[in-house]
Amino acid sequence: MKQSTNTIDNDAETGANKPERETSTRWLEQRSFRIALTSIFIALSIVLGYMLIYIPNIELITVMIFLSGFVLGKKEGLIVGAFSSFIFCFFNPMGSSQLPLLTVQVVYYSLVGLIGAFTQDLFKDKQFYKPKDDLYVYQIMGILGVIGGILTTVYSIFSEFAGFITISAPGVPFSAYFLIGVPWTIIHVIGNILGFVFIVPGLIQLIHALID
Amino acid sequence: MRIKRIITFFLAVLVSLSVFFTFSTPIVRANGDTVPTQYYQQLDLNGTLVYNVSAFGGPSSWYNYEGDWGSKVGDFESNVGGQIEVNITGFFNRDPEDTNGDLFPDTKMPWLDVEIFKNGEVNANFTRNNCSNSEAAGQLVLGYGDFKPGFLIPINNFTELKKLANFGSDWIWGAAALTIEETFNFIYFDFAQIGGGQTTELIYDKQSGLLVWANTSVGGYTLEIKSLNFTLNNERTYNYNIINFGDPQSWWNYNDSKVDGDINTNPSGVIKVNFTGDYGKHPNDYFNAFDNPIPWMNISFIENNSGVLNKNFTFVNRSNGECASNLIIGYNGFQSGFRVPVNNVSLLIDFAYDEKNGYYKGNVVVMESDLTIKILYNQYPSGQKTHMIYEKLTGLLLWVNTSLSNYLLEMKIEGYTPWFDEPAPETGPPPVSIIFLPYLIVIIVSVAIVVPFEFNSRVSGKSKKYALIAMIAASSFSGLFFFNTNMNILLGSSTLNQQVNNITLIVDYGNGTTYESPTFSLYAGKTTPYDALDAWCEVETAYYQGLGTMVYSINGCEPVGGWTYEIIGRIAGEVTTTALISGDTVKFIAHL
Repeated sequence: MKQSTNTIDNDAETGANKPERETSTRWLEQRSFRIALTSIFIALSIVLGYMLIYIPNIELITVMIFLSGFVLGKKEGLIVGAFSSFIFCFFNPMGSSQLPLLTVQVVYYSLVGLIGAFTQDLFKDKQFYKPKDDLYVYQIMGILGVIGGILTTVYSIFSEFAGFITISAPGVPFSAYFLIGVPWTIIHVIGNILGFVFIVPGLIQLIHALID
Repeated sequence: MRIKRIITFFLAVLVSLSVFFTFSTPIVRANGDTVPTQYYQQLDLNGTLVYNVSAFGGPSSWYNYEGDWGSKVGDFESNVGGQIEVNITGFFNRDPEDTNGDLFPDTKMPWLDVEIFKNGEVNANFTRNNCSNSEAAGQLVLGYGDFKPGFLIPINNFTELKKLANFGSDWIWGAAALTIEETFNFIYFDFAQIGGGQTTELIYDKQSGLLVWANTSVGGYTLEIKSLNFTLNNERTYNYNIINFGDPQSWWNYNDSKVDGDINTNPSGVIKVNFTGDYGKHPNDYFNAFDNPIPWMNISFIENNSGVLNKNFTFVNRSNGECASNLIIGYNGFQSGFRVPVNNVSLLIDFAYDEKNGYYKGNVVVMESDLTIKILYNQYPSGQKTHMIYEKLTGLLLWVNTSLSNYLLEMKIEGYTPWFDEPAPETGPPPVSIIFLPYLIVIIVSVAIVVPFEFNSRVSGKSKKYALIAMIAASSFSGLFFFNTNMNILLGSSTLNQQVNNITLIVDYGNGTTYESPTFSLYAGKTTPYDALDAWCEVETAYYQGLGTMVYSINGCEPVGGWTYEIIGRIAGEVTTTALISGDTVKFIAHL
């Protein structure tokens, strides 16, 4: 078993797995394939959003949009983030978001897609990044967990601020408004950290396996 | 031959007797002019009872008892401002066609003429002459199941009446939850059919047995009526039985501004009150903030000396304010005494709360039952403690427990049992062991699945790793999901307690001024941080969608940065929904 691992590592160092990467890249370079995959990501993000809508503080939209950027790149990540968040937040059975919040949501999720692409750029030349083999290594899980936590915390602060502007409660400080939501923010952050740590690596591997 | 004659004679006697008894027994009615002993003897059989209609949903049809299913007499309808007039025509036996009967006796039951009017119409919309009370109760839904008290109840045995109501609530076509409350003047029945359907509330005057108020609905039919005939009887002497009495109390006479003497009574003694009428306040009654007119009365203090009742003092025609002030039945401007105005109960309650900020500041809590209002005042930080129960429909004082320094008076009107909040078991956050039990189960199950897998030599290392990661992920997500769905419990926002004790309130004004209340109790399910604050301070709040209620002003202080609050030692949720538990300290902080 040890031998097998060493062989793979050696291959990575010598560039022996290069043809595999090229297979994935070839598929992803096809415009029609990218359009299809972008649409699938948008649809998946929205469906997963609606699916978990009645479970407060737990969502998989961020994970899916991040993944789309990671797999497809910056432009598609932005598109998936913008479209899926707008459709989900505007046509929402719980009620449409008010304009300030909607703006925050669309901008934020677009950036999540973009950050997904940047993360792929960060990983692609790292030795521990082996999407054909195993992404459940502590470096990847750790970095993804940190990204998920930071993204969700930033989102919570900005979305709470947008909500605060919307209600314009006289005499209510933002700190008081934000503190009320802290327990739910913590759940949201933990949920997304778990999603980034456990779901994203598996899905990246799965997508690479499918398109090869 | 002789035997034949004897037999013929006996047969003739038997036939004669049976004929005699058959024709001597009244078929329907008994003697209707006399009021049976179980009913109020001074009942006016020639008078008209008038009920104002304050809600009506219909129209509805009136059926008598003819035939198997009754025969339709006609449709009746009223509306808000309409009236129902009732004449009691006498007491007769049950209608022979009324074969189903009800829980009341078949003989000597009230019979009535009923006229139903719409607002502004001179002629009755519907008239039903000479029907039994049972029929009227059935058609107007003034009863539940076989308990049909209608417009008049017997007054000789309320225990029996309550038993009948209980039987009635267990109706074969649908049981009802029954609530009964009794005060000095009234008895209240509330039937709420289990699973929905009929709801019927009835209030009867215990002295006359007459229906005073009803609110009933079933299907599309609704009726709410209130009697215009009932007024508090000023001719009556109201006896208050003394439960506790402290030192003799000086009586300050408002007329000549001097002490009349020391009034005294003792446990098992009596205070007798006769209302003499409602007039303007005495000019020296400057503490009293009740509007004119206020009740005036004659009041006597009677001591019980080894079973012998001796009159200690009698004061003639003294104002309610003077009595309230001398006996300390009230606080600050809320000199409520022996009777309060009840034409607007909400205003009365607001007034009771407002006066907590009077000259002697204190904590006020107002609780309500269907027939009574209970007002509790505790002076801050200590001193006067005055708890009172008043009848909602008449404003009559039913019970008081008041003390200040060496003065103590606890008394209740004769025949009344005061209600106290039954201490309910508190429902605070569950014990830590219960909170973490589901997580423990998830971990045990995960380990139980993974361990055999990990030690299986036929499974590859990668598969073992993925299995372990899958188990950790599953445990983490299920734990998070459980935590999320039970967060309200963990935050303490579970069911509110009926009563919490030893609560402390701290208000930090942010400028160095901090107010700290003594420990106090909250009652009647009003046990949130907001209720704790409201018990001591003037509070203004605003409700925001998605955020809930926010406090923005305490005692007129509206800091630019607003108010936040915390429950010391645990997480605080929204101010009006978080459940306090005994011993909590609630702190409100101003952000200047």
